[in-house]
Amino acid sequence: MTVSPPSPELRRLVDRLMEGEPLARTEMARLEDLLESPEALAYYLSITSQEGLMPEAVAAAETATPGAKRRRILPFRQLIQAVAASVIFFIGWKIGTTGSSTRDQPAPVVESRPARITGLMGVEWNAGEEPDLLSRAATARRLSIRSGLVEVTYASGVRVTLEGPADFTVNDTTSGKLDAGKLVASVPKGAEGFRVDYAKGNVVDLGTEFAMDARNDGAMELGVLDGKVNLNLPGEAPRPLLVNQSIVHGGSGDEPVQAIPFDREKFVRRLPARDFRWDMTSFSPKTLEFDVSHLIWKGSRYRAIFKWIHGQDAIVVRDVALYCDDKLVVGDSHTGSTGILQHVHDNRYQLDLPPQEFRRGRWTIRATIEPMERLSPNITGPVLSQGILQLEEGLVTTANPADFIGKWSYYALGRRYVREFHADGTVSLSVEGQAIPEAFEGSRWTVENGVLRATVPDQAAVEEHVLRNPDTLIFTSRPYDNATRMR
Amino acid sequence: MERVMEPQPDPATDPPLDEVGFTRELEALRPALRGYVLSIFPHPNWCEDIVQESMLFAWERRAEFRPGTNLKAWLFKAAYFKTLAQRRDAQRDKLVTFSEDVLQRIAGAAEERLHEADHRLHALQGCLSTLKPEEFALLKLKYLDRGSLTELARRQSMAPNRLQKALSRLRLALRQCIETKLAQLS
Repeated sequence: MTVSPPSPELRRLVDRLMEGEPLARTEMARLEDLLESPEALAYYLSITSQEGLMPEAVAAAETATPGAKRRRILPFRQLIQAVAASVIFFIGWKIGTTGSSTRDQPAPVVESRPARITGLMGVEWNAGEEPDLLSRAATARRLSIRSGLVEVTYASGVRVTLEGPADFTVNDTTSGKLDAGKLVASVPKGAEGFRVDYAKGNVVDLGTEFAMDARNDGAMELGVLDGKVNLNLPGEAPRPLLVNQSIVHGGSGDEPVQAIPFDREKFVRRLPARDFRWDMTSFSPKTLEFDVSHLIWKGSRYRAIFKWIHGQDAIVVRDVALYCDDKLVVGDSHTGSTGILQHVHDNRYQLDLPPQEFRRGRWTIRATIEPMERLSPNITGPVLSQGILQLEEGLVTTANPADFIGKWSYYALGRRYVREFHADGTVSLSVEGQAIPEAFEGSRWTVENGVLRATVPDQAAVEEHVLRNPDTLIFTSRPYDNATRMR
Repeated sequence: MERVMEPQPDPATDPPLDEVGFTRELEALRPALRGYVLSIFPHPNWCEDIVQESMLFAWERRAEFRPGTNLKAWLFKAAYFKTLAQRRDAQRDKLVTFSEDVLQRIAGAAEERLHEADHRLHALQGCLSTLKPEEFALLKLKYLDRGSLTELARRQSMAPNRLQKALSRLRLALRQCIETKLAQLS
């Protein structure tokens, strides 16, 4: 197709403007005349739009030149730097505007259901109490866990973090019931009045964060992490509790309610991070060590995934092992690599921890990394490769094709993408709601040992995905954020 | 602007967008917003400030947004008014720019093309892959490093206007490439 070329005069005037050169009054008037023509206006708008898109497009293309194939920039390669750029933008913005910290995790899904499970970590469900996480929405009603952490988010934005062993029931959109175990409830502005019932009373939040522990001996501890709550006991006026105050109700003392020192440390306020940052900035191999104690709650088939996110270099990874209190427990010595898609090979490491080997202690992962040999003359200068280690268990080894079928939403280049794995083995992609039919043309996907492999025909490559949980898809060979299942 | 787009209010019961999601949504609009501002006020030296101010303006009012609000429409409207304000300042400094009626006509036409922005970006990314290394290097200098073309020309002992001509050729070639890809898509 040939689009109509602009007149030399129009082209010259537009070029000058785009170069930052002001026009004289007569020249601007002439440009206005020229733009009366629809073709000229179309040209003008194409160029201004193109100029607007250029910084992001060039930045993305510049980052990850795959090997020596400089001239063949691959369709999604351009997104790479933008992921880092958007993170930098976000961090800078947060520092500059709010000064507070926000966890980079998938947003709570807000729907008409009272609450949803929005995070799971090391969870062992009590027999018969495992919710059907693959059913529509993993709606939280009764949650009974032997170990691990569950995060429940109410439609109002209230977030409850449960620590097992625990038994909690979502009553309705504004309340829950704690029968056993510990929770921390964070109540955002606008959701004041959130109530947690327990055997002998209830706690009503007045816009704050509080912790409860329904102990085995029948007593309940309540502490206010921030703000104010009311403790309501049958037949009594509400008892207000302020920040840092703590009581025990039904303990062994003479009074039913007694003030106690607040033990903040015994409560988990948020699901801890499960992505661990690494970087490689020299040609020398180095050993990494990550404290993963909070992720090791039981014996399981853990997988350590090295995911590259930024930098011109790929890395080689070997000798990945899990230690408990500095003693080697299980390791995987194979050599893999991670980088842009074409450089990702065997970047998942098998750390099968038998149940009998599990114990409480300081669990760490150690690994040796070094830069991959530079195959392209275009890669010069200091070594730079950055990414994350993700430690997963559960669906990462057991997911089957049905677990992947459906739409997954994620962000790259600051845009919202939706990838859909169809039951017929094909893949489709849309950006901001618009289909991009050419993106996965001819692609097929299969699942083996929990890992989805999708061919990327136009890049002669295969990309891989695993599931963190039924609603979270990890790109193990792409630098994109985790994707969230769409309902 | 005759057909200024309005945000669509949502039930007050919906909770605000979370900050990460809001930031991402906002940041995703930056390239298209830059192009829009550039179309109605074609002065690159002013454009980035207007874009940044508009985004901060939206960020500061993030609590007012509800899921489903047409953030894009709201942001572009905010940018439109910020551009008008900037334009008044620039005119006081004797900058010659579009008259208001032409500006409004361009704004209307630009808004009609906004839905294409993602396809255009995708097409542009594909088109960049067809460039020679030296062509790409020139674009990188201009759009990413924001380096001085005059300085580059001096280092390479060439006349500055040679680089400007090269940029002009690239601009035209990329436009041709993008439009071809879009036509194939449709």
